[in-house]
Amino acid sequence: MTLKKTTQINTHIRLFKIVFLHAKQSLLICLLGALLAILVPYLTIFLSSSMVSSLETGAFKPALFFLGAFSVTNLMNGCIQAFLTRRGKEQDTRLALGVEESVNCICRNVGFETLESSAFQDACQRARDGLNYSDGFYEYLMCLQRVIVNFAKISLSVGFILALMLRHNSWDSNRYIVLLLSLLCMFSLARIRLNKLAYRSSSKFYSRLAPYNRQLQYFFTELLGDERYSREIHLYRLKDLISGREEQCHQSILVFLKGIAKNTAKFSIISEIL
Amino acid sequence: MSSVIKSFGFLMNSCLIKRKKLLICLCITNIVLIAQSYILVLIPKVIAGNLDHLDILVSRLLLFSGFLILFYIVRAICSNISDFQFSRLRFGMFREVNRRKMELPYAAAIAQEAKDRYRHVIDWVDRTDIGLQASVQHVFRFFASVLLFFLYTLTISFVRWELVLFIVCAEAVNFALMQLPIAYERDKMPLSNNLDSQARTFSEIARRPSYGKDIRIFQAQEYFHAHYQGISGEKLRLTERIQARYQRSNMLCTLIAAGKDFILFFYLIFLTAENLLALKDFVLLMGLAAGLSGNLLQIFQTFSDFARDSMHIMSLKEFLAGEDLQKGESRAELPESESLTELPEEGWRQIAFEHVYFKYKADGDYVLKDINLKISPEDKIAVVGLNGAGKTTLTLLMMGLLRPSKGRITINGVDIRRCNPHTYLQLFSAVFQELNTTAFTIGEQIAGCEADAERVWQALEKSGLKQRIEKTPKRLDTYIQKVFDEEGIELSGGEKQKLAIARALYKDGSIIVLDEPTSALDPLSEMKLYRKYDELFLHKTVLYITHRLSSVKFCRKIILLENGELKECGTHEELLKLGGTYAALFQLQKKSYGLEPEGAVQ
Repeated sequence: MTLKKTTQINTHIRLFKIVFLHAKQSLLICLLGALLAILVPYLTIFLSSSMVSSLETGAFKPALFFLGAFSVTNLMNGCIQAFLTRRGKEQDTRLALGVEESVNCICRNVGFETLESSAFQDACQRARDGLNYSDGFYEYLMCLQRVIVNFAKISLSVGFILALMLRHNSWDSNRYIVLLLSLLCMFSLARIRLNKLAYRSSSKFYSRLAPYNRQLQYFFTELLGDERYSREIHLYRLKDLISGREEQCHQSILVFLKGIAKNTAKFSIISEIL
Repeated sequence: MSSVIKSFGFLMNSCLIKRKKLLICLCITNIVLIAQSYILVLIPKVIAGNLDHLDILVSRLLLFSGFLILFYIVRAICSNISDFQFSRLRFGMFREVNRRKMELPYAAAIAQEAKDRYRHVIDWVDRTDIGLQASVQHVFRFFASVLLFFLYTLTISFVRWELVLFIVCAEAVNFALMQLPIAYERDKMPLSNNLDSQARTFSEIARRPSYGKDIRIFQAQEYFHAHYQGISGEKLRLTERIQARYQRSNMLCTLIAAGKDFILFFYLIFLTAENLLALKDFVLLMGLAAGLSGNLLQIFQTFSDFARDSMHIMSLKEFLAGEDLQKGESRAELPESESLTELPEEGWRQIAFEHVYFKYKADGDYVLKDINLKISPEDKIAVVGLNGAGKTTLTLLMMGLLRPSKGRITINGVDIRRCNPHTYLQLFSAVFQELNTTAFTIGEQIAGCEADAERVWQALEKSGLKQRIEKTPKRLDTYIQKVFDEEGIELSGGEKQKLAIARALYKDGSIIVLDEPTSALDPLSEMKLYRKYDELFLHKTVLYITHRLSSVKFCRKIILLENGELKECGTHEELLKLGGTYAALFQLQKKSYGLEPEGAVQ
């Protein structure tokens, strides 16, 4: 296993540990949500297509049975989703507050020289950017859920192909279906790969953005958020200076954002085509 | 409703007109979204209707697929562009808000309400999920949903118009149910915002090096941790209460939706069984019914979201207008007919306080009472008094940063409220007790945007900071702190004070206010420094603010403030002879600081 892979796995383990420490139920909710996301679409498609095919053959009683099953499925799904959403939101808040305080604890307990250093402040800014701008751990768990759902869907498709092949003992009778499903699998894998590339491409920019985000926060929290500077701003007419500096800071951030937009554009377009 | 319309108008006028690219992108995205949704509803009908004509089916499906791929590509491109344009919109709004914050009169800017409003407005503009960006998206999504609704309704009405009525009624009930937890959450929003703000303050304190020393010296880590746990506990309980209501409402909505689907499909099956509906129309109506339900919810939801956004948009609008924030200011108003006048070119002859009263809040107590004072060019005046006597407030009133609640302050007999505030402020250079240095370069710190390097060096030389700055590699371009430059320097307390003096010298105001800039020094050092200032500002009017009486004995006029009132006025000798509060305080300080009788220091 390469060093890069080992580091990635270690990062995931650490993330799981953090989630487990602050909000144990999040993982369970994530798994249950994934299970519903896998089963419900198949059930809905199966029940509605059965309803249509019953109607096609003029069998109205079975159609009504499938309609009943369809409604009960939707009802059950809705209720479970409502419960999971409630628990998920609670766990999400617990997780966000817990992680924020973990970052605070680190800030309060490191040596004063470390706290003062730009490297530490940047790392701190990156941690907060991660929590604020990308929905933090909640988004991580959602990604995990999507991975599970996609993996299960691919597995079901492959299983379906194998079942078809085994049942008919040949490629010929179902070659179009097999080809179509294979293509769908390939497209799904390609999309996963593209998303990963897009993420890598943009995360490079985001990590370099931290010092500029720190500058942005300096304007909000210190220069303009702190009344101590108001007298100086009025008396020494610092308005133009601060506005000019702020614009410079914004321009620097926009350069990065433009880079991110350019880099991710090709991935998102190809992904949409697939 | 009127606030929703006003908010919409503000959003269009102030934000989107300036960002035409964003406007175009959002329009294209939503048009494509409508077309895409409609095609997806039509596809099942095409399949069901052409199962016997495979060649027609394949060609139509290929056509639809082509369109869908094209739409996906257009949406991906537009979304990419609009993400970037939204960032530009946000940054533009930040600049406008910050500019407005800097333009607020000093009294309004330091009020707690202005600080809270500023923080709220900035947070709202900054957030992408429920902020300015989301509001703009809600507007476009609402109009797209309304258009799609007409499209769906028209299509269903061709087949069965009564279905539209049924779906609209069911979704309206659903929407009404959905509003209950939203209303509850809205009620709890101030509490939630307050808790968020407290939690953010704790995070700021943990991160800022300026608080770092105290936390470590007083070992306050556990104290802060316990407080944060308290806040997060309260926030969690609030979230649980809100989410419990959402859960109940969502379950009820699901029940209604399931009932609606059952009745609807039962009716469609009945129509098909009675041969009143073809199978392909059954499939189409299934898709349309699902689409219309989702679409109606979207209309209700986006309208409700925008109604919620309108509170924040109006708050932003009011902040930019700045009117509300100055309402609470307690000040004597001028007749409206009087217009602003410029100061005479030959300079000022006298600044006079005429029965000036001042209080910070309209319903508060007076901080200064019946102050009568005359200041002439080249006066050296000391304002002394105990902490909280109103010394700093007096200087802020004189500089026009605060306005009298009663009485007036005049310059050459003209009320200062009638003077152009910018030209009036040009008269003053001030060094304050709190030495606030920005994180910009030394040159910018002293001279602002347009620095005259030669004058900056002169000011640095006079203040005694030249040698230190000359040693730095970037000299005047050296940054203070490390916010903008890794190689920025940290200044000591004394160096910051010298920098503040250099700034005051560079500005070259004819009135110098020294508001306890040396309070951290011992009394002897302070006295020496004040004498140095006396030489430095020989031909200027200087106001020394201090509570150490021995430091300002040399002043020609000493004013003693006590509980906001001007109690004694005269030279040091006159006040000692008077035997009042000044004399008593002087004797007391002499003993406690261990100073010898006057003259010994010299």
